[in-house]
Amino acid sequence: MRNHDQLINHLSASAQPVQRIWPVTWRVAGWIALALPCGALSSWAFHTSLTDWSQPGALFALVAVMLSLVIAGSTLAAAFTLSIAGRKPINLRWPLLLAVLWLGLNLINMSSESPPAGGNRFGEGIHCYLFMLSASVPMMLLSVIALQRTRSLYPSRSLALSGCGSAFTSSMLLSLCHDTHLHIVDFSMHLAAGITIVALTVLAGRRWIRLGE
Amino acid sequence: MARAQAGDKAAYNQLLKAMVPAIRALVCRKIRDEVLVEDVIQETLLAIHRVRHTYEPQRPILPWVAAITSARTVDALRQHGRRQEVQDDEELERQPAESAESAWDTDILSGYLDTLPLRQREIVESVHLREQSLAQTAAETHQSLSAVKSLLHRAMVNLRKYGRGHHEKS
Repeated sequence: MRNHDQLINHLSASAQPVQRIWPVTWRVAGWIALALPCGALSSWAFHTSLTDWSQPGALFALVAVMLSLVIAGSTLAAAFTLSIAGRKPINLRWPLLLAVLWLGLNLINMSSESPPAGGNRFGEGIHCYLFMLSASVPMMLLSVIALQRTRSLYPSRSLALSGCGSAFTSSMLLSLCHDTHLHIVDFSMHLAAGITIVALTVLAGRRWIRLGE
Repeated sequence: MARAQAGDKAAYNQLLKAMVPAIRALVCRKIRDEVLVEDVIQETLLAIHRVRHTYEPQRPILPWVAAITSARTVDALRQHGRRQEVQDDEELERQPAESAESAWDTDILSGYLDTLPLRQREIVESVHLREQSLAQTAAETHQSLSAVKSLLHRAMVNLRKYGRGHHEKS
């Protein structure tokens, strides 16, 4: 058996007072309060006109926006909780159920009567893809900074969950300047952007939030 | 821990020392290699130090320590698995013969051995130069057989690494 007293003496001699982390709800609220304006600013170049909430399907679109916010909050809370040692991870059944509901609402908006044809659907999709990516850049940064403070015992899972949070938050921002009616190509690009955001968050953050670094 | 978070060094020192047996018990459930167990304890202590601000005093401390220990243990096993090039007994037993066949110059050999930590060097000298069995070496150095195997494995990895670097330079 090795004696660890020397290491312990060294660690305790260098120990300075530390500031405890905020409760998870406060951290999520702080993240959203910072991420929304930062995301809106970083995606400024891709802003078009604001959503006309008098269009058909606006109610479903509005509910989808609210759901996006709730899902984003839940996945972020799950990410922050998972990153702290010894905490029981949040059950993801509810966020998953809400995500299915969100998908259903979007599908309803896709199947409803299409507005007058016009514009290149793929081009619109690319625009939405770029909007979501540019809106999510500061969110990814905020997620990595927030998780870097606590480090994580499960870096990939924590980052994937916070990436979902960023994806739903940027989707919410997009809904505020998007037609309430969705086209399949357009919506596929929204989903592709969400997947890209999750992947980028995991790839970009892994090195920074590992416990051993 | 609350006092340690507030900067009380003596309390922190006492707490870490008190934690070591609990950490060792948790690590020993998953790892048998004594040397690796001690390495994981050290890694766990460093991790605890790094994330001590995440502990909430109103919660029990054991689940917090256990989660950190478990994560460090899994990481160590993963890394150890990757490094495990020569681990089976036959391979280890075969190495003295191979080493004896090679005609190393004494100076070069001693230069190589000087790069090793003392404990690893002792094991290499005993097994490879004096051609003693692993069991004999374990008895002579008052260590378990698995500790000897582990030290020998580490020494071989270090020697290969040094050898490659040396070869590239020359």
